[in-house]
Amino acid sequence: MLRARKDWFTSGSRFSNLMWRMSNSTLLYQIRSVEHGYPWGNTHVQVLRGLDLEVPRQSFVCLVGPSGSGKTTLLNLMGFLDRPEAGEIEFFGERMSDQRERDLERMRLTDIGFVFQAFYLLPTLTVLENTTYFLPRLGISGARARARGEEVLARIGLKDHLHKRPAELSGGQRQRVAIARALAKRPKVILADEPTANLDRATSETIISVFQDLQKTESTSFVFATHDTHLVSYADHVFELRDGQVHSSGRKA
Amino acid sequence: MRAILYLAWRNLFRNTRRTAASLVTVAFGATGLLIFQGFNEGLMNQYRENTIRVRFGHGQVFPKGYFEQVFEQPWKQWIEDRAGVEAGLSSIPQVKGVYPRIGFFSFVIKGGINLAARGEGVLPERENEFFSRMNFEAGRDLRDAGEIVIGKGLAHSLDVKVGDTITLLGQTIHGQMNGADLIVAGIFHTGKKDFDDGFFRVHLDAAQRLLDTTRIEHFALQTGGVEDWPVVSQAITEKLPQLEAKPFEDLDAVYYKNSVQFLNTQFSFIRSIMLIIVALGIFNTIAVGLLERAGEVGALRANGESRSRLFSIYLCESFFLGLIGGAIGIGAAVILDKTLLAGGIPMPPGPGITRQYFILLEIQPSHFVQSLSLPALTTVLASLWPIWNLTRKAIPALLRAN
Repeated sequence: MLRARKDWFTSGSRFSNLMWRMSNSTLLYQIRSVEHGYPWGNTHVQVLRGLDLEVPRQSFVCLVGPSGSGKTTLLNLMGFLDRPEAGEIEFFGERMSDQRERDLERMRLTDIGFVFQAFYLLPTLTVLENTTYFLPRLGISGARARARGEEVLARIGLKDHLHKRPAELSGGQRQRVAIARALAKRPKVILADEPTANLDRATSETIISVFQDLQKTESTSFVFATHDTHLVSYADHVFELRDGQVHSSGRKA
Repeated sequence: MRAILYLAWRNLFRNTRRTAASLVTVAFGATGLLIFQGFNEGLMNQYRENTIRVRFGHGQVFPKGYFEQVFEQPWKQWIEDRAGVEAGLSSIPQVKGVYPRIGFFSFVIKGGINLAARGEGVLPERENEFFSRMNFEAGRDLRDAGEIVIGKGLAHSLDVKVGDTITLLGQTIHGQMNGADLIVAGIFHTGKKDFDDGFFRVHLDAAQRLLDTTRIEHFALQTGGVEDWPVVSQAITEKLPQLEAKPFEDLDAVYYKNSVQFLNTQFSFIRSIMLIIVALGIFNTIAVGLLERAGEVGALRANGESRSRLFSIYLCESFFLGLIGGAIGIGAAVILDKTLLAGGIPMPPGPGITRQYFILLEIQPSHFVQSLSLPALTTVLASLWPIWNLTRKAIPALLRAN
C-alpha cells in the first residue's frame, strides 16, 4: 500500500527509513507526554499538558472535548504543522523530532490529508482543479489526475459541479470539496477539524460512508476533532480531552 | 513551471477590485514614466538643437592644438588654405554644411562710448538658413559686408538702435590700427547674458578686411545629425590630420554639458521618486491582499505545499501585475501623446532659450522597454517582503490569522 516514490524508498534517506518503518509499525501515532502552547501577547498559554495518546493504524478516531481543551492543537501536532514543546510524537514508529523540516513537508504532502472547518479552497480554481491541486506534485498529472479528481468528487456527490467555482457552491458543498482535495491525495491519515459541521444529516451520512469505505479499502485512518455526536457514533476510538490531557477514552466493541 | 504560471495568472482574478487598484497604480507609474521620459528627451533635444543652431553647429574644426592653447598671435595658427580645407570637409558624406569663421577682439565705438567686445566674422548667405535660432529683438540677421549685428546688452551699453552706424576699431595681424564703419542690422539675444553683453557678428569679408588677412580661424560644421559626429570626427582625423574637430557639447561645456548633466541628475531623481511611489502603493495593496490569504496558505502548506512554490506563485502574480499594469500605462501614455499632448507642452524660456516654446514628447523605443520593465521590476521588488513574510510564517499562525 505504500505509495512513496521508488527512489525515496530505496535512497537510504530518513524518508525511506520511515517508509520501511511504516510497513511494520502497528501504531499510526504514539504520543507521549506532549506539552504545547501558544504565545498570547506577553504571556504563554499552555494548551497541552503532558498528553499521552495512541492511535492504531486504519482507525477512525474522534477527539472530543470543550472548546480550548486542545483538540485543534493536538490535530496540528499530529499533522506536523508544529513541533511539540516537550514530549514525543511517533508516526508509524518514527520519532517526528528527528525529522527535518523538508521531510515533514514531504510527509504532509504524501501521508496527511488536512480538512479545515473554514474550507480554505482556492477561489479562482474550479472544484475539479481544487481537488487535483496537489496531484501533480505527487507525480499524477493530466488525464490521470483528472480521472482521480472526478472519481473522488463522484464518491462524495459532486460530480455535477466539477467546473463550478467555490463561490457558486453552498457551505456544505465547499466542505465536501475540501474533503475531496484531501482524499484525492490518498493519504495514510486524514485529519479534520469539524468535518461535518457544515453538512446536513444526509450529506454527512454519505461522507461518513465514504470515510468508512476508504478505511476498509485503502487502509486510510481518520482523526477528527468534533462536537458532532453523530460522527462520534461511527468512531472506533474516542478520546475526550480536557485541560490539555486525555480525560477519558473509549473504543467501539 | 507551467502550473506556477497558471496559478499566478488565475490569482489575478481572485479579487478584481484589488487587482484593478494595483493595475491602476502600476499603470499610473508607467504612464508617468513614459511621458516624463518623452518630455525629457524632447526638452534635451530642443535644448541641444538650440545650442547647435544658435552658434556652434554640430561641431567645429580648428588647427590642431589651437582650441586648448592660448597664443600671443593666434592668427599665425589660422588656416591658410581655406578652399582646400573646405573642399576636404565638404567631401565627407555626412557633412551637410561648412561655415568658415574668424573670432577676434575689437573696440566698438558709438559717439563717445568705446567698449571692447568679441566679434565673429561669418558668411551670412551660407549660415542664415541653418543658424536660425538666434533671436532678434530688433532688426534682422546679417546680409552683407557693410552690416553688423550686436548683442542686446552691448547695444544697450552703446545706446544704439537698428540703422545706427557704429565703428569697429582693432589691430590688423601686422600690428597696425584699422577701423570699419558698419550699420547695425539687428540686435539679438541668446539668453546667455555674458554673450549678449559683449558679442557682435559681422560679415567674414569685413572681419578679414579689418584684420587684413585671408586666413580662417575655424570652420563650423553642419552634419546630418548629432549621431553623425563620431564618423565626421574620424574622417577629419584621417583626411585632414593638421586639424582637429570638437563637438558642440565640448565647445559649450559650461552651458550645455553642465546643464544637461544637471537636468539628467534631476530627472533621474524624479524618476526614482516616481518608482518609490509606485512601490509604496503596490506594497500596501499586495500586503493587504496577501494577509487575506493567510488561512488559504496555511491550509495549502498543511497539505504539503512548499514555501518555495507558494513564493514563486505569488512572485509571478506580482510580475504579471507589473507587466500588465506597465502595458496599460504605456497604452495610456501613447493615447495622451496622440491627443491631449499632440500640440506639445508649453514651456517658459529655459537656459539659453529666449522665447516660450513647446516640447513635443519624443518617446524612444528604449523608453517603452524602461516603462514596461521598471514598473514590473518595482512591483516584484515591492512584493518581495510581504510574500516572504507570509510564506515564512508558521502554519498554525497562518491558520489562526483568518
